[in-house]
Amino acid sequence: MLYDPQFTQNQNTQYTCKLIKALSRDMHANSKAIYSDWQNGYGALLATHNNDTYRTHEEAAQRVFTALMAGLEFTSTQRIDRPMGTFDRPRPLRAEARRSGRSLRHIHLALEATNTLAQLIAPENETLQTGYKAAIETSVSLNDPILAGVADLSKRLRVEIMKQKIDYVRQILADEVGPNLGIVPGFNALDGD
Amino acid sequence: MVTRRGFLAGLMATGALPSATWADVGAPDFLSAAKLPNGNFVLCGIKRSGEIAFQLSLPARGHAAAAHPIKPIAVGFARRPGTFAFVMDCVEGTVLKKLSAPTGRHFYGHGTFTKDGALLFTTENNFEAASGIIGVWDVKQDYTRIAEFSSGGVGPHEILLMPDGETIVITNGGIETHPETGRTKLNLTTMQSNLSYLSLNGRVKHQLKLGDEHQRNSIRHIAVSKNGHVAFGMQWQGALTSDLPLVGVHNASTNRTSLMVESSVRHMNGYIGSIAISASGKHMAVTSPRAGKLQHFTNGVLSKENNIIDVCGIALDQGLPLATTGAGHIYSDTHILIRHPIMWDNHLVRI
Repeated sequence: MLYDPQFTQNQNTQYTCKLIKALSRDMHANSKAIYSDWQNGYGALLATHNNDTYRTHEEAAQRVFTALMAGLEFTSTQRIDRPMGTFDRPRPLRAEARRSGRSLRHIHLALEATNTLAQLIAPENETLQTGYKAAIETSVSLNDPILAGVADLSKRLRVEIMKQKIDYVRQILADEVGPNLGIVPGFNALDGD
Repeated sequence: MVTRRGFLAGLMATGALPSATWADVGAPDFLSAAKLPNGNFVLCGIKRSGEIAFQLSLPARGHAAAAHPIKPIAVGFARRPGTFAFVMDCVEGTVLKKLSAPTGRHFYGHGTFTKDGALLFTTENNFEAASGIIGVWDVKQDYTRIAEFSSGGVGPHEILLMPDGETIVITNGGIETHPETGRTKLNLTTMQSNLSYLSLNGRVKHQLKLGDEHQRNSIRHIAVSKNGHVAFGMQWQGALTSDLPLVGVHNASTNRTSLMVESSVRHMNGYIGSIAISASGKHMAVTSPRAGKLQHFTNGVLSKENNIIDVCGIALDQGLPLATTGAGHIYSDTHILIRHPIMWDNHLVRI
């Protein structure tokens, strides 16, 4: 809304301004509530386990691992696959936050954040570290802030390589880290029937 | 005095010796297919306590099973597009008969017996014609295939017998697949799912189709209460940002359908894996392995929701959900009863 001409060049500026303020207030309230829940109880439920939400240490670890996997899946499927579209029909306008020029930046930040979590879960897994390092480096060197390159033959390949590196990290997590936490992801979830 | 041995001999002589029943296999209450850590596939009988009563080998990944209404016989079905089904003697642990889908057909993973156990119905794909088929097998003639008829749509998946004993209810998922392209969905832009009620010889008695907004909602799994309410779970074939419900209950006698907004595409990750309804219809439980959620509805209202990773198989036992996971857990409501070193597959079938 801050960057789209539909809103910035709107005649009804007063309304737009009020709407943006209301949305910002809502985002602030939500963030505050989430933060407060983490500080005042939820964090402790997760860390201490043996309660109605997390009965065992294993269950708590599984919850964190699921969040990590979901974060990476979102980056791969929503942040990259959506603008990629198909080879014949790329969809660059579907890139997240393209109006503010932050599509690649979001991918980079999501990788950094999930990497911190992944290192806490599996500090000794060197393949995971190398995999993350490669994925993050690609997100730094890509130089295509709104992934417009998906519609250009040579540049598209580079976006695809970044996605492959992210998917490699997902695979290491699924194959090596998950089973150690008692998770064999998706026997039923991936079945599709 | 009649001794036990004498009594049994007498029975034998009169030919009145009762044949084996489900009690002879350790009285399992449920059936489920599973994968073992060594990679082999099995069909298990499970007690309500969570213990495994028996375990039989399958040649490939199973999906669901049909329990004979009287005899301790179960039919384990291949996962689609498999072409085998095994009739198993659960007392002896032996395969009584291997059923093969006829040429040009494959199974969809579900089947059901008639009330007297005389006929077995199976959901099948006539893949060259892209039409759904119900195969009819005569149990007394050693499971001879005696007939087939249209399922009333494309991509039939689950099939159950209605309480009247004279109607079968089938979910036609609406999705066209062909064995040559594996599990690839070929017709998503034009797919049309329905719930079909058929007589035992294939006459369409009633069909439920949801509104146009549900065009990409594939009705996939069902459960039936004693009073004939059919609970159904759907799988969404579009963007996961929709708020359409994935669960409903249909009453064929009044043709009323209620949809559960709490089981939305967004909330359940577009995918209901399994559904159960109690005999009275008071309780209903649904699972989404993709969202890792188990929802319990009481009198049509969401009464409890639990987050359980890869939960799928679901049954109701005395009003409480009994659920299985791909990590081997068996949950009673929110409590883990037991965890087996096994991966439970899609469905927990009540015997």
